[in-house]
Amino acid sequence: MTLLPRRHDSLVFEVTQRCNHACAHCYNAWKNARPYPAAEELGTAETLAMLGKVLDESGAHLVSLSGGEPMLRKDIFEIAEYLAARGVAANLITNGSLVTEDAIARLAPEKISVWELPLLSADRAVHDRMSGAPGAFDRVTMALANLKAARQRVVTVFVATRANIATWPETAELAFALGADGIMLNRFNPGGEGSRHIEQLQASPEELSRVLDQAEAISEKYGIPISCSIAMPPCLFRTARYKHLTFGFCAAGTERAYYTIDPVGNLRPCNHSPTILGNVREMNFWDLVDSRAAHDFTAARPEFCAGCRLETTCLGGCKAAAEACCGDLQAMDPFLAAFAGQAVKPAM
Amino acid sequence: MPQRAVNLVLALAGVAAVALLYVIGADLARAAQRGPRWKRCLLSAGLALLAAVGISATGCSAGGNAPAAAPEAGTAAAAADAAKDAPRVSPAATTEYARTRIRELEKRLAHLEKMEAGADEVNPLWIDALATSTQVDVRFMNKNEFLSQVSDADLPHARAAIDRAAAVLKRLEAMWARPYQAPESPRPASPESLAGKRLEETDAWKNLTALWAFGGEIAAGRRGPFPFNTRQQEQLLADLQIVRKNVAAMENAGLFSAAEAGLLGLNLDAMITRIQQFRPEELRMATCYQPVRMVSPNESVERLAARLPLLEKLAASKTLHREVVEKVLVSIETDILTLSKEESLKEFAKAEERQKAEKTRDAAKAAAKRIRERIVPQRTCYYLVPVEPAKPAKEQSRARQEALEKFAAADTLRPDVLRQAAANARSPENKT
Repeated sequence: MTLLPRRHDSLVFEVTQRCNHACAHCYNAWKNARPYPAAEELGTAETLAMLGKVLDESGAHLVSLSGGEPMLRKDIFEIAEYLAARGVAANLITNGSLVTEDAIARLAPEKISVWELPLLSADRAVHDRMSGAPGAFDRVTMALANLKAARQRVVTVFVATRANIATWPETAELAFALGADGIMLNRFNPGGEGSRHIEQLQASPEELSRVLDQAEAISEKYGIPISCSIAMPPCLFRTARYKHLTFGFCAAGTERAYYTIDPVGNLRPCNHSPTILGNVREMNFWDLVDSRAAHDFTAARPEFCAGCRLETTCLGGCKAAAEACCGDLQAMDPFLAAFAGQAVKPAM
Repeated sequence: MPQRAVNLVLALAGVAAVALLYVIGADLARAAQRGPRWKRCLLSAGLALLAAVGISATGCSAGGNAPAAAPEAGTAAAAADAAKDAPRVSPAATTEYARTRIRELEKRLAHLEKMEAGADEVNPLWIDALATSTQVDVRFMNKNEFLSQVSDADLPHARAAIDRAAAVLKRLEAMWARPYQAPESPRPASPESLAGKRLEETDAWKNLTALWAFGGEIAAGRRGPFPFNTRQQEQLLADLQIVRKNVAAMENAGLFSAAEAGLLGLNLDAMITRIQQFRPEELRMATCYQPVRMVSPNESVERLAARLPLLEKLAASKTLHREVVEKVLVSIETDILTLSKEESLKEFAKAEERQKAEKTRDAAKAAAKRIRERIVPQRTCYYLVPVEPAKPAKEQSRARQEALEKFAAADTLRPDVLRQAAANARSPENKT
């Protein structure tokens, strides 16, 4: 008998698989080489019913609305309103192309806690090229400016690849200048479409360390929080020396694990993983979380990491990337695998 | 003949002269007041001379006995030294005496560099003796009188050690000369001042952090053998006692666990004891000859053994406070490292002492490892980016406007975007 109800902090809801951009670095599971069920979206009522069920079971108090491009769904406003009515906070992860003044007016009054928009470069051509969409830079910067005019909380996302890494300092400054409240600085994490372009996109630890040094200086100079949410393995990066940056690691197995629901209710261990644990419309959320597949995902760790002092925290980087690229949870994170020769495991 | 002995001889001579005058019946008081002026002046000068000699002969002055510092290169004193130095004669082989002096210098150098880094335990009396004896070595070993005992083949090695020692001494001198700027004195923490606050928000914790760092510097010898004057030492010790009491208050307020409080307390007690061992500046010339005590690995065992029960309790506790744990683990991990070195373990004469040291070390290492794994690093949620700005809104607004001007000049943004962004940056109400 449990004395306290079990609770899971937050969920990711991929409201649609559709997208109007074509980012080479996209991690979406349905773009993997491995087949993933194509999902026609449920109707609004069914979607809300599904959300209600999983929120009742999980007790989550935050839902991150993602995709694809969530603003492509006409009923995104109803979904946001439903969550607000339930007292559940909603983050919106959007490429900004459809964040018009009208959309902001409909969503701004306290329906969205944090807006996450990509700002891939201060160089218009680089941002547009990475997005696979001409005009993307102008649309996202306009969206940023309009969101800040409406006093919304905005975080920009910089995906560090070889294509844009040289423009990082100016991009961070631009994010600050446009009023961003925080910056997510993520190294390229192979998966989905990105798994086909690893060589062109994956930067080296040396290049990324330079980026971190620059980020530290920028965060200190401007007082803007910068967070690295994709795992930066401590054997490749001396993360402890950065006083102004926060680092995230795989949250699998914790109450903050990024359980992700796709448009038709399939639950996955995280948004980077292609493994489907089951469907929340048919099964109880906790039965899926306690399943063998979920356990295997949480427990997986590459042999390379055995004996490292930080093994149980770092968990070997991103196992979802290992799964997406190599088809094997026990394989090494492709980034770690590529640079394992440089790895120095933290000693006691 | 040593200076001290000379002073004593002069003092004794003075005493003998006074005794002689007394014996032959000279009335010094009357002689000082009567008679020809020249006689009275001579008598006064003689008494003054005896007084000066007597004062310099009293006390046990390390300052008085300490050799003069090596003159700085390029100075007149250095030039004078060099002028007196005979030319170097190149010997067939380095003498045993020279080898020993170089070896001893290198050993002292290792300790000096550790002292400079603030690593490990440092005995305050040792700091002074170590620095002083190294100064003597550097001065003497730079002379051809010594270098004539070093073969051509060994000369570069000898010079390198001497130069390295001179450089370390110069850096230590600069480090020790820093002005004394103690943190603000703490107040005893009341329950009201702690209630409803997070640990890092309380003044009590901020005071502890500041005094821990400052006191730690002094205890590690990074402010030299005479780091304060009497008043400053008294104030620092009083402040640390308040901090010590505030640890108990913070524990009672539930801001950290009993184990954390216990470990913090032990470390603070050790710091207070060490600071008490330092002599203030006023007693610099009154320092008596003291036997130098080397730090023994047995002290590491004793410290670890005292902390082990609390450490194991901490490892098993449900909540850990990173800020507290980071502080208390430093000295524990240093002791573990000391006891992991063969050169330290060899100092245990008996097998059972060595076994006890290793057992204590291993138990502490296991507990510290469990604690470390829990605190470093933290997992954060992908979608929970911290968005609390670290600077005041007005300052950020100004900085944003300046940054926008740069992008405007570079024509980065579309005009309508720039216009809106500039308006946002100017608006004093634009805050989330």
